[in-house]
Amino acid sequence: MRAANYKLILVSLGAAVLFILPVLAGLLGTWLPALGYLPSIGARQISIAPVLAVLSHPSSYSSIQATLSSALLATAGAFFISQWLCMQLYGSDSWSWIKRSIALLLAVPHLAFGIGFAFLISPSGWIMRLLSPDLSGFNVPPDWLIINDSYALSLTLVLILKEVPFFLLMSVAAMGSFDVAKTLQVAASLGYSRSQAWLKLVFVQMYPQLRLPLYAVLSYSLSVVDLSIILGPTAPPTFAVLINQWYGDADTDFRLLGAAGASLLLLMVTVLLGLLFALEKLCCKLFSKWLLAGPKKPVLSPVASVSRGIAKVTLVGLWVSTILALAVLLVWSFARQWRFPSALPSKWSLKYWQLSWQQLGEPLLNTALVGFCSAAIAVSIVVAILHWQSQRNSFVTHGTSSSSQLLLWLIYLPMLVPQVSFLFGIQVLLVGLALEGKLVSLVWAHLIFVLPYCYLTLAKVFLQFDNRFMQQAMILSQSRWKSFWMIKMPMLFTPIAFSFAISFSVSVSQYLATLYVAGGRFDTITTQTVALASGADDRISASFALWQFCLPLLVFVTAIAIPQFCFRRRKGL
Amino acid sequence: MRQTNPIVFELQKFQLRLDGVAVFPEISIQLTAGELLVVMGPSGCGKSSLLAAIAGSSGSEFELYGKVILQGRQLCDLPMERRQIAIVYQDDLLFPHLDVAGNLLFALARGNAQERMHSVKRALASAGLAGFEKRDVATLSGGQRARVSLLRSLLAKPKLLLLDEPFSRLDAALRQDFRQFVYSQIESMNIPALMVSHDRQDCPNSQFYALQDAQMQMLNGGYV
Repeated sequence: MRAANYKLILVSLGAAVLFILPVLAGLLGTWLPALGYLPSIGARQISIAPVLAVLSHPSSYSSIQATLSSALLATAGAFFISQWLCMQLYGSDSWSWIKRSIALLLAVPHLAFGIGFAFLISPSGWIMRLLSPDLSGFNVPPDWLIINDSYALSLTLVLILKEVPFFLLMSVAAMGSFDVAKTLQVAASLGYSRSQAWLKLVFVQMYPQLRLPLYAVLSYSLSVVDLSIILGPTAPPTFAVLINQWYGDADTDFRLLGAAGASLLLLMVTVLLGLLFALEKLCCKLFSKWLLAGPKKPVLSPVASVSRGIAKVTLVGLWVSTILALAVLLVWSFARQWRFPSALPSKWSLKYWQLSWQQLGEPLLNTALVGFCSAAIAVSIVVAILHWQSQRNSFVTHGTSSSSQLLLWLIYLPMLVPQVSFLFGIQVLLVGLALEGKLVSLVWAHLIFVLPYCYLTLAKVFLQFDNRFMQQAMILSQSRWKSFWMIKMPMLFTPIAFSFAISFSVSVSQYLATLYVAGGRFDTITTQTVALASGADDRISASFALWQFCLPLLVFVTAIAIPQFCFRRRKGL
Repeated sequence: MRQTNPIVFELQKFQLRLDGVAVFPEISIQLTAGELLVVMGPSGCGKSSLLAAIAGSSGSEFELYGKVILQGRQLCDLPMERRQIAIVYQDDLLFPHLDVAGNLLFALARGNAQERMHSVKRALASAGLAGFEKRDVATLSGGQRARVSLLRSLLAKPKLLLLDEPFSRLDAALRQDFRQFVYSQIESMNIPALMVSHDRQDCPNSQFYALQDAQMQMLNGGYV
């Protein structure tokens, strides 16, 4: 077993050096320019002038305000809604359906959904068209600022709609580690109402596993760029977008401003995560007495069934909004003429698909190439680490919890640190090494973000794998190699293929990482979709957004279908 | 009997320690070819750990003392895949992605494809499972799975068979049936076997090895 141990340490170290160290280097490479040091543009004077410049910039204040309000509202909203849905719907007839369908909702990329949703709710959107002119009385689209509103409400709404399914999935996974039904039963027999039992017993047990996802969502909402460009306020935009604009400004002096802004954003994220952590501790203290205060006399009221009804409607709303968002993309992409109040296009055409097809070839190929490479590499690395880890762990019965916690935080690091806060530093680094704009660098940059998801989707599966199968195989075949490839890998083929698809879709959705590392040499479907969404023809934009959805979907479907086909005669898998 | 047959498997002053504390007293056991020894003891006395240690799959937290000798070879430093010891658990651990023949072929040494398939067929026929080659293992009954699992272990031509409560998942009727099957297989393979159990009916000759006392004991309570 020592050999496995040694290999595990080696590969983990290698992964850390390759993928976590760069994050730190990227941070450093951002902090130095933030303090006025960026030799490539001749800035060598260490000072806090760039930071002061950001703070006194006329856009900063309202930009930060919109960022904070949308991120906090979206995170809190999505978290509360998801937990409330769990509480209301667990054990109901919709629950098993939720468990099965939640992955489908998640499979729709944020960007494609955001664009579709914008086509729904904008003043000239589908909803307004369906209401006009009969109900609304509008014959021309009203002059309302719904999309890109200065309070970032539409951005917030889309973030909530996309993060609720994510939290739901995480909650379902967290509930897998203990018996919720029995817990509720016991609590009911002790006289607790369902909502009390849920909060005091189920939620409390779930929360430790929801903490990291919650932090990741908060950080993501604070620093999202692509969605924000499409839905967020424009003058000024959200802070991350503003930073991105500064970086991209023709005047290179603005890079210092960008770096300073990026560092401030990181500070903001850190402080908010710290506050969230403090809030947790405070709640822990405040509610510790309440937790043991005993059951409150349950009052029979019609409220319970009403709230369950509302929960179901909310769930349906989630689905309907997703389906409508995709449907309107589809309609737009086939539209040739669609005047305002008509519910459907008056003329249909394939012209825009053909047009987009001409522009699509290269980005689509790039996306698929980078996605396949990064997913394949991520799965290989993660499988190696988890295999060696499981060989070691199966024999260790105690004392690993703190080190595995640390490992988990390290793995989550790229998900917790705002991308815009270290990608500039990485860009500087790559330019210095003459690696900018190379396919290798792009795959590597994607891997930083793909690896965590890949690890998280596979970790449980590997740790739950009964190691006696592997031992039995080794005893029978007298070969570790053969046992690994002929027994363990095929037995885990289904989750591995699924994890490949997740990794692929994470790679496809990368916007900033592609923008900063590709050096303009590689367009992916995502960067093109963002570029087209702000300004180009709606119809082309719709077909690009659909492709951004379809490509990962295709991989998902394949990844589910192949193992099912291979094992179609095997009930035991 | 024991003096006349050569000793094939031997534990010499064998002991397992966990954090310096002995899991069970120092034991010495000798087995001849075709002999089955049943090890019994209260739960938690380290029966399964003993088998794992002999098979080489026990964890690094256990310290091993004494010698494990199989056909004159010291085993303690060998990795488990080179010890030529089969271990059968109450869970059959059949590989779910392979059919019955696939499971058996996996254990067979390389060689002529036809001959290998022939050995599989012969083995299945000997267990009353003729024609089961293409069956999905998930569709087998508990008793059939147990048989296939044992056949698989024996096809790897082990020099020692370890059985970790192999009958405890089976109902009473099947248990008796499978027990006879195991005994006859051990006899025909002519290898020593060590079985951990807590069912007194598993003991041949009405005697067993009491692990916590480190000596042979009669089922009626007397010592051998």
